[in-house]
Amino acid sequence: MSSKNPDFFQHAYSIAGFLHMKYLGGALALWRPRRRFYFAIDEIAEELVYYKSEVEFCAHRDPIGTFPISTSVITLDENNHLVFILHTSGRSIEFEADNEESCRAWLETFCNRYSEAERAKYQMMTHRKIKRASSLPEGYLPDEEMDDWVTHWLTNEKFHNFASCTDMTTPTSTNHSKGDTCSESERAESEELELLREVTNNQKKKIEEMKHEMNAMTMHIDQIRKRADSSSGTDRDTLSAQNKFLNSEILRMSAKCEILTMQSSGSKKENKRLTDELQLLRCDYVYAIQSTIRIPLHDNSAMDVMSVKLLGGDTHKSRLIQLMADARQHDPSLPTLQSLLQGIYVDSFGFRISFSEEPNALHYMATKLNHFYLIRSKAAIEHKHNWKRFLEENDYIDLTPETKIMCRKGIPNSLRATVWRILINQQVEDLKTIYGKYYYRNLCNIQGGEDEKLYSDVHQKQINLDLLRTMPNNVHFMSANSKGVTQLLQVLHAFCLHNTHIGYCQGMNFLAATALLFVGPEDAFWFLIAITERYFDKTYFDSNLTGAQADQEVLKGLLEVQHPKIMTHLKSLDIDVASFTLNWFIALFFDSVPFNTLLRIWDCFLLEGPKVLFRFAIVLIGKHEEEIISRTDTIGIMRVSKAATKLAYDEEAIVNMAFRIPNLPTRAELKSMQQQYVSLLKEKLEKKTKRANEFVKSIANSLSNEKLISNIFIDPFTSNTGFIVSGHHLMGKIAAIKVIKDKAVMKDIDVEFDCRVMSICMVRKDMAYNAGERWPTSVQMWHMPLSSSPLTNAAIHDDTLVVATACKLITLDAQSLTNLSTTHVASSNVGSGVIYFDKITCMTESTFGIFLTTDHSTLIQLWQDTTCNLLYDISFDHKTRKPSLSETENSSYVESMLFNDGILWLGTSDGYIFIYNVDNERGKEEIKYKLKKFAGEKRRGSSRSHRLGSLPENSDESDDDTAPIFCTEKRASRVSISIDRETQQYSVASFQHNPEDVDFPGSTSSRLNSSSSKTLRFPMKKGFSADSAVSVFSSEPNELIEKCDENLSTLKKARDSPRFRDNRFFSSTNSSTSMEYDDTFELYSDEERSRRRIAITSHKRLPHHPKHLNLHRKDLTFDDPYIVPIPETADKETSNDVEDSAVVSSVKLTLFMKLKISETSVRKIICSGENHILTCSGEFGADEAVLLWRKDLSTNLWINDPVSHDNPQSPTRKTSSSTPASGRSLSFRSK
Amino acid sequence: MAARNAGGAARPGGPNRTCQFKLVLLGESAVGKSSLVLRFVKGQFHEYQESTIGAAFLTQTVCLDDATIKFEIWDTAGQERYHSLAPMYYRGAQAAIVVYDITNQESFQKAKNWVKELQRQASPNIVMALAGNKADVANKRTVEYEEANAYAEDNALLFMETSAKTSMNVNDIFMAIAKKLPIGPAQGEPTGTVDMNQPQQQQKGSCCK
Repeated sequence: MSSKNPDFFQHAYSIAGFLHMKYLGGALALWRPRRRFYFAIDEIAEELVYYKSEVEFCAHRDPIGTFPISTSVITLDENNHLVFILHTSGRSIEFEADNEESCRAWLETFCNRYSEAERAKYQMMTHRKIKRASSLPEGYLPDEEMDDWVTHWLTNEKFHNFASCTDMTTPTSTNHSKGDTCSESERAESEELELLREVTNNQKKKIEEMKHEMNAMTMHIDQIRKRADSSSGTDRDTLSAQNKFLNSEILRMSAKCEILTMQSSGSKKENKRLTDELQLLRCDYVYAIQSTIRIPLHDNSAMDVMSVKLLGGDTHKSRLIQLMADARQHDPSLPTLQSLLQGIYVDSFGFRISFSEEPNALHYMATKLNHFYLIRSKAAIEHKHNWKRFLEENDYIDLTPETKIMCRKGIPNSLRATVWRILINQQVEDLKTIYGKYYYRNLCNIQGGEDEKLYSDVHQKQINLDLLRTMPNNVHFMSANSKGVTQLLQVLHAFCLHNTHIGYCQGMNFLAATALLFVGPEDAFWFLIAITERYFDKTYFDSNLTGAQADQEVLKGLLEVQHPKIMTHLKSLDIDVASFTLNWFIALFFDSVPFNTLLRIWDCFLLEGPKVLFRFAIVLIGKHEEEIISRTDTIGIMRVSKAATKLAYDEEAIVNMAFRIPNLPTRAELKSMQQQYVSLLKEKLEKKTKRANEFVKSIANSLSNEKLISNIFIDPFTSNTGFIVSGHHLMGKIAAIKVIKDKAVMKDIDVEFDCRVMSICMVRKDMAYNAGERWPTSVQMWHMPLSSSPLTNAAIHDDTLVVATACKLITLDAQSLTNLSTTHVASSNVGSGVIYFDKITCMTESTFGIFLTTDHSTLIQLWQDTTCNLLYDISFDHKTRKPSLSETENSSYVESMLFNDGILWLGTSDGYIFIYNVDNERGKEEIKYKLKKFAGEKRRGSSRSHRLGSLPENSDESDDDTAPIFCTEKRASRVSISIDRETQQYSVASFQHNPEDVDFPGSTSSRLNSSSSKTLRFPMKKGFSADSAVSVFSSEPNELIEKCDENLSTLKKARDSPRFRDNRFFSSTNSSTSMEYDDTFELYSDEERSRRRIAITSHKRLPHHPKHLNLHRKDLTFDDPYIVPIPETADKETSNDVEDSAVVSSVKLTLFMKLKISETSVRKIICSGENHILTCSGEFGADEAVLLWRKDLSTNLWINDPVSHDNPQSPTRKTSSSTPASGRSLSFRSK
Repeated sequence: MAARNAGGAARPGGPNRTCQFKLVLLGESAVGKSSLVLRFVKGQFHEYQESTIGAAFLTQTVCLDDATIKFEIWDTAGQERYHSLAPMYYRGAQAAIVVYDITNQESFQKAKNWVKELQRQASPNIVMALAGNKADVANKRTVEYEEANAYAEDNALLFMETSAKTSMNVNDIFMAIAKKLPIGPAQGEPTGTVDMNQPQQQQKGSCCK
């Protein structure tokens, strides 16, 4: 061992000098010459070494030869008192000293060789470069006789060895194995002092004793001499004989001793081997326990991501407790099971660890023990030593293969702070020279200034919110007064002042806090700078986290290569990896992996940079490939991937795997990929900031070709022209549809909205109301905001425009757009005393009132003014008294409806068309619902409806998009808009309202053409929200239709027969050839059909009474109650707020026909003139998306034809003034 | 821990479908999104809940009379900076809880913005709830109940004032959502079978009404 580690164990020579040497024994013994060498005794190695000369010895040259003296014995030659013979390892060597003094000294030194225990001590001391001779403790020599002899020999000498010191007290720390731990050096120093003191004391005592002894001896010797003198002559022979005997005895003993030593060294080795093995087993045992942690397989265990099951009853528990008790003797900072369960344990980093379940606590103990053992392993000690030596030799940690390996192996806990500090500071060295030495201190002390203001405006609030939400389970960050928290605030504050561009981003709090656990605030501050400006670039934490998002894209690319299976699987489930990997990058795995694993990742990251993060991310995902692929539900996969990181306790294996990933791009390649993605993302995200929340656009873009039809409407004046509205949330398009006889054509109109168009209804030939989600910009004529939620539907009912928004029906005067009434129509009771207002899905105007239905509902409501006249659930067919929907269909709901000519058409979400006859017969047994009225006071305070003609003081908010409006008096005003088709301009006329002067649809145009009496221009009041608005725009249906007409006549010739015209479709079910859904076709009896036309029951128009015009006040008082339809059967609980009233229906619905027309929902049904109905479902442009229904007069049935679409690719111009594309492009698409 | 199983024990026997729904929590930073989830899922409450980075995922099951609803809860980060990531999280969500802090008027404004964004960009049929959290400190209230209720009504939102601390209304709001969600095989495919088309349908729905 000593020769292996020359630095560790130095030589210690107790004596050195010249001797003559001669080998004894063998035939040639007499002939051998006696040679003179320079000898020395090495106390550490227990060797007698010899050199040619003293010079060589001093130069520490290699000796000529060595003799082991650990088991040697020495005999004397009675004839020559300058000679002594060394017997060692089966050889005898005769030494002759130059003089008696020298001989005595040598013998004494030999005599004082150390015992084993002493030597260990000595080693330690020599490590501190102290040389000392020390004496042999008593009892080393195996024989009493020998002892006597030595005493004798000693007494014969008048001279006591000056260096001879007393027996040192052996230390008690035998429990420690030799290389025990880090604190050794510190401890050694104090111990040594202790020791020296002790030694001196003992020496003094011993000297005293010796003096006494010497006196006694001298007296004794005198006596012997006297006796010897008296018995001279004969005694000499006896003495000589005695000497011989003793010498032979010594040799015999020495042989015995040698055997024993060999045996003991053998058993020592064995002992050591066994101890090592035991240690290894312990380590493996706790590791095995640690590995029992699993991701729970049952989905029911939604509580935690980990579960530990230890089989074998309490065996493991007691064993772990025992092991922990042993370990705690060396490291009292380790937890006990109790401390973990009681939640009073705080680990070395300050985290308070507590477990409610015992197995989890045991698992934690196993993890702790595993660390404890690993730290004490030989490899770990050597690794630590290497780090120490490296730090002694280097001020910088350059990126070399050696340092990489050292960091990947992990930085020892005791050195982590030092190493991190070096790594951080060398990253920001250049910045530090720029900003100066006291930069941090200066930032901390800044008062006032622009940056400070920015900080207090923008970041301070968020930082304050997060301070106590950072490591709340760590004692350093627990309360507002904790040192960690104040430091964290300081660091984050300083950072915000330093980098005003980035400022504070959630996640930095964790980074800074983790750094603060190891380094001081200033270094933590520089660490944040290193993260934001060196390891990552400035885009990483910008307002959109562009850089971090770009890295996710890079990661996805890498995963495609490394784990294609997982990626395919995730893609098929539409799971974005970024949804769980983003925080790995932003918070550098904080709170994602166990803390020790986190530290290992950081060790590598701080040296090698962000590439490391990709490595670990790939490993953490790839490690659980099987589990991920076996899951087919989103949340299952999320859980597995979360657990995969949470359970990453096996840091060694993870680090190894991470740095063995093949085919990773180089750092530079990664960098360029990142840059590409950053610029790509930037481009997209910049657009987004212009138009709010456009990150979705990346999704929308891929769907931009899909223009789902949202609505269709027909010009009520020409009744054979209509518009189809399609698009998505960023784009709305309108196409014209023209119905001529039994055919129809569609054509795009050059009108485009930047929002989804929800509903359109025609007022006049050249004017339409358009309810959009947002302010339309391209074809904006005029609009008014109504509600903060989207308008879902609009219909003209008599001369009122009824608009549905959220759960309300807002009735507006069709001419003036004055708010007449607001009715809360749709609501349902969801329990918990909470009234939930459903959105109105669709509605249709009828002679009976407004039919409507709400979200996900099969319940049809009929409203007239503010009364509900009918509640009808289509899921039950009252005529046949059976459910009209099969079990599989009962998830469908009404999606669209149309009332036309006494017939109610319903389209469901699963593609069915229901046709009902509407009757005014009183249906007695059908009353199924009660209305519950909740007291109106509940909704007090709502004032959300907007009316035209707001007062100027309300319109301080000016907007570029404001449309000019007219306003006269608040109470009685009516505004008309007329559009000059030639000039493409509109003029708005306002009239003093006169209750008697009510306009009826027929007389509208004449009134509008009259000159305007008052014109005032006010900016539109944006008010509560300008998001939902009714817009008016002009169209030129006549012009368009004319063109359509032209083309249709030519096209008719080219077209032989429409596709779905065959009557077979309706007459029978077996001859169907092209019918996809004929099996679901149902026919109802003729008898019902005969009663389609019915008289209208008491239908009256809403009077234009000032009371109604004042509805904004009515909203304030809210006397209209909540009305909640509740099935009678489900009506159990009664509330004080509730006032029941049964709906006695004056209208009866009879199912007449049911037919499946599409796989997707039927979006819209519209009437396009007498006996012509249009239905839309699916995508605009798809086959059979738009169907034209006509009534076959011979069979009295409805038959349908698909409406084909021309030039779907034609580019649309955004100008509304331009005329539609020329008629030449109109054509039927060939099928 | 008492309020751990929000819907009570599963009814033994009977026709009981399991439907899975994605629910996303949105709202300003530190209004208590994570706390609501933690209370609902684990019945726990921490005064200082560690701030969420990116998003967190949890599940909880509630039992209704006719079905078992499994919530797949996506808890999102509140800081404005994480806003651009939100669509990634609320995409395909069938339900959303927009949370504000009743002691913080600003958070209520922010909640309105979230509602608006969801109305535009989330699936059209998303069930939205508005939760006014921290109702336990009603004495510091700056957002009146009436104000929020009126807003909720205007937008057809489910509305409750909640307290993750006292667990007031926490389970109720989730239950109310559960009741509102359309239960049917088309919506919540039970786990185990994969419908490859399903996510795409959701995607379509998310931007087209």
